[in-house]
Amino acid sequence: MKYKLLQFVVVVAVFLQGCKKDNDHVQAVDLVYQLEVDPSVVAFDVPFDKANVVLINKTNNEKYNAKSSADGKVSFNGVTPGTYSINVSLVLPAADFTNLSGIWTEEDFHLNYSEDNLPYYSSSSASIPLVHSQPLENFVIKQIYFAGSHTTKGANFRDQFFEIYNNSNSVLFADSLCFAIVHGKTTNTTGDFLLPNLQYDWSKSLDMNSWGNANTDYIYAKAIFMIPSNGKGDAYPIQPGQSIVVAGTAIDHTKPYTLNSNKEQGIEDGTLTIDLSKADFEVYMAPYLRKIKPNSTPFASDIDNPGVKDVEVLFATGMNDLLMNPQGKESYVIFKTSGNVDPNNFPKYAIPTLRTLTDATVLYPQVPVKYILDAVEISSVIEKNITPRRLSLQLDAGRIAVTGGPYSSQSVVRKTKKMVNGKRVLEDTNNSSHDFGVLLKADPSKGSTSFID
Amino acid sequence: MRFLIYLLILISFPIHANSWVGKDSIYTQDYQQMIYRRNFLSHNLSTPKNFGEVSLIYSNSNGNRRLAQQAHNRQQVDFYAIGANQLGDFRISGDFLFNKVFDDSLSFGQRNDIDEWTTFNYFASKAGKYERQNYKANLTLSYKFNDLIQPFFNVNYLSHWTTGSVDPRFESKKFEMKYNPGVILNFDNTNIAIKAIIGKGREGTGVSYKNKNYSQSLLYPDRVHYLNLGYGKISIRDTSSTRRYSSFVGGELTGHTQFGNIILDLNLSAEFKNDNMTNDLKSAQVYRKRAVFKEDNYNASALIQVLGNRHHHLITLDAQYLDGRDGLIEFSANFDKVNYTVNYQSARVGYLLTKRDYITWGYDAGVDIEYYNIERQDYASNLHVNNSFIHISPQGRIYYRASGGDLIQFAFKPKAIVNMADEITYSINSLNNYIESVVLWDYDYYRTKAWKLDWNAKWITNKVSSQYLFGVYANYAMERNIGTTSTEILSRFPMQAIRNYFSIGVFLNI
Repeated sequence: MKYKLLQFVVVVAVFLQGCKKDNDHVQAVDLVYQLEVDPSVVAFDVPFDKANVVLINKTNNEKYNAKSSADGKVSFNGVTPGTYSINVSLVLPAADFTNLSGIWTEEDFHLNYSEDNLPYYSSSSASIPLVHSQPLENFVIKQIYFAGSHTTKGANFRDQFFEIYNNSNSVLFADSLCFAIVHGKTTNTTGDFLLPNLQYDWSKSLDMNSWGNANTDYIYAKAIFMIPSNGKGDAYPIQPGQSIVVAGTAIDHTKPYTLNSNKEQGIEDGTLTIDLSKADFEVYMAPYLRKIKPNSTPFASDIDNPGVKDVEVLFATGMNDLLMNPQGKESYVIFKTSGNVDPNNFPKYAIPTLRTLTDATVLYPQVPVKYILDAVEISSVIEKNITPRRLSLQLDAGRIAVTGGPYSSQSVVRKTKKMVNGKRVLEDTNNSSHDFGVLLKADPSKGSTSFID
Repeated sequence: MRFLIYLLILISFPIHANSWVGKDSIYTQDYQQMIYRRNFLSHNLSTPKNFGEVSLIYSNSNGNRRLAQQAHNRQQVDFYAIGANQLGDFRISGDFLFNKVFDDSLSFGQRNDIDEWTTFNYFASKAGKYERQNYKANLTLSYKFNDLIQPFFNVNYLSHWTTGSVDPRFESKKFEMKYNPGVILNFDNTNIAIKAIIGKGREGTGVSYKNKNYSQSLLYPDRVHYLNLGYGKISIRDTSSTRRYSSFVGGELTGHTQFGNIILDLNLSAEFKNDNMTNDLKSAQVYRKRAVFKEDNYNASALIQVLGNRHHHLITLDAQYLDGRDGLIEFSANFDKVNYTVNYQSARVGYLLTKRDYITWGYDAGVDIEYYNIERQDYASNLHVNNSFIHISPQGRIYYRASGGDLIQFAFKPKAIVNMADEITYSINSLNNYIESVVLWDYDYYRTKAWKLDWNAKWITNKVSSQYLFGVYANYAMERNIGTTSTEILSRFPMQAIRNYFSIGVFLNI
């Protein structure tokens, strides 16, 4: 009896197995990359097996790593079809670089690559041109606090600031140093007049008339703030290893204060925000707003602290105070023009998707890359929310995000590379993914707690 | 809804309720209960013509021998009613379940616990508390048109909600209604019923955050919610609400016959479910379909009773075949490219020998052998998982009838859970937290050998009321791992996992 029952089970199982449907199904994809360098820039055999390649699935934020072969071949097999980002970094220690190139250096040699919004729905192969950019020994952006703090318990965006650091061995003057918020498309939608990565193709902007590549030789500013100058350019000397903090509003945000509207701005949880009353400069927008719109009144929370010098606002659109996008949809650069070049006279262009210009059309100043001292590509921590990059790979081959997301009180901070005679030398490989870290709470103190060692 | 409840209570209190009290009725022997609960025709054709039973049962299970998306601790209260009533040429029969479920320490649980094989569900790894509620009703009204023809109308109703109390807070509201017309043909000693299955359903789900710090941050990875788009293809913070519109179509053929001392019941059914999933919340009529899931469900069962002079022999045969596949708009605008497939097969053979006539001591004994095969694929993730296993459960029960008429039962049912074949393949370039925490956990769970011991006691008396039989029921079971076929453990599924089951209840046989 038992034998017959078991027979029944087996017969039923075999029969049901035969009922399975045969469907046309999705297939995982295989990706093959060939790492390359421009031989006119890198004239030696690069040991590509030192490259780290990270493929990031934008749909689920998962990261997959692969090593390159010595001849630069990288494979990812069995990848879920979807949209991906890729980051490549290769670091040659100084001694290896010297051996390979015959050029003595005490600095490591970096090659990088980054690309976003890559649609992989079938197996494919592609070349990856690694980029080398030589960092300047100059001012660098040390800290950017764009995330802001809790919208109701903290200070929202009112406590934003950025910090600029002298990463050189000599005294530098901050006079006329500019900080720009880089404008770009903030969605991943497709359309006309866009680059393959879905960012604006500025070369298609109406009336574009500039030398070189409109997309890689320039950035387009949403705002430019300039450290004032005494005319001689020596008003604000910054010692090596020292920095300046520029606040949106230079007051103590941990305590209640009176707004321009004479109402009180309370604070529910002061631990979420910071004291910016000791900032070196602040962005006070009222004079600029009055210039472009004479009858305008100051923004309620844009308090002018008379004890803190104001930066000059050369250009700003879509803001009544320093407003950096808490979602990480903007990038930032510092630049300094040379000679008699006045940033106020940079040509301005509309975004390329606007095909008709009116008096109300916003025109964005075009800043030549040659004046840029440092640049940081900011992004969302969630891959699918990352919008097309605004900076070329030469300016920043990586990107950095706050892990806590918007309004998390976190800032991004350039990591310390080494200490020389008690002075911190900060990382500057033009790859923010490598150079920056996240401070769990933004710190404008300039003290040791404001560094990531 | 209330109409259904009233109707079920009505049929649970038959007019001639007391006519069976004091006899070896359908209530006192488990095989009888097994028969009349099997399908609608069984309780439509059952003898006695009028019967009813209501029960209230509390049950608790806890322990880490569980699937990844099951709670570590579950408490449940079930109110169940079943009955049939003859009103002239009309006959009404059915069953009704209302229950509340309290899940604790449930991870990856942002989904209902009804649609086991479907996709398009939220999940987050944070363990939390969930509360669920179900109304289920299965009601059949038939009319004896003449000796041969007995048309009927069967309604199947389900209302469910689930709500979670930790971020990301989950909420599901689900509703299904199946309208199943049919006809019973009554011949001498033979009854044949055929019914059509036509139904609709909808479910709305949502996730929300009370603590906004969790909603946009990656600092708390266990709070990050994902949408499962297959069995490994996932999307982080995809959306915060979904709608699922379901349609059902199918048929069922049921037969009952007796020749000599053998009674044969046969049941064949096929049901095809089509789910359309969307994030559009505005209209149930016009919406942008984002995914589909089709599920074909075939069931076959046979019940053979041999009525001996001293013993009753019962042989039960059951088989289920389920085939499901999805379609995502991301891969095909007309949803004809399948990413996720599921194939579930089960077969069961049971034998139960019951002593028919006893004065003081009675017994039954038997064995159940169950076979399961679960195969799932997520093609986009290059993932294929297959587990086959069997359950073997001998069982024994003794009955003692006290001099006052009370009936006491003790039952013992050990079970061996043995894996037969296990297979998994996946790509390391598609691994993600769902595959690591759910798929691999479940794979390890299914391939783990285990044993289970199940004790059951029941006391039935007519002393509480001369009208009704009153019973108390208690059950305790313990299930424990005894090892795997491989020393390599792919997940964090604990190899020494245990799960305890306890339930206690009261019931009235009317």
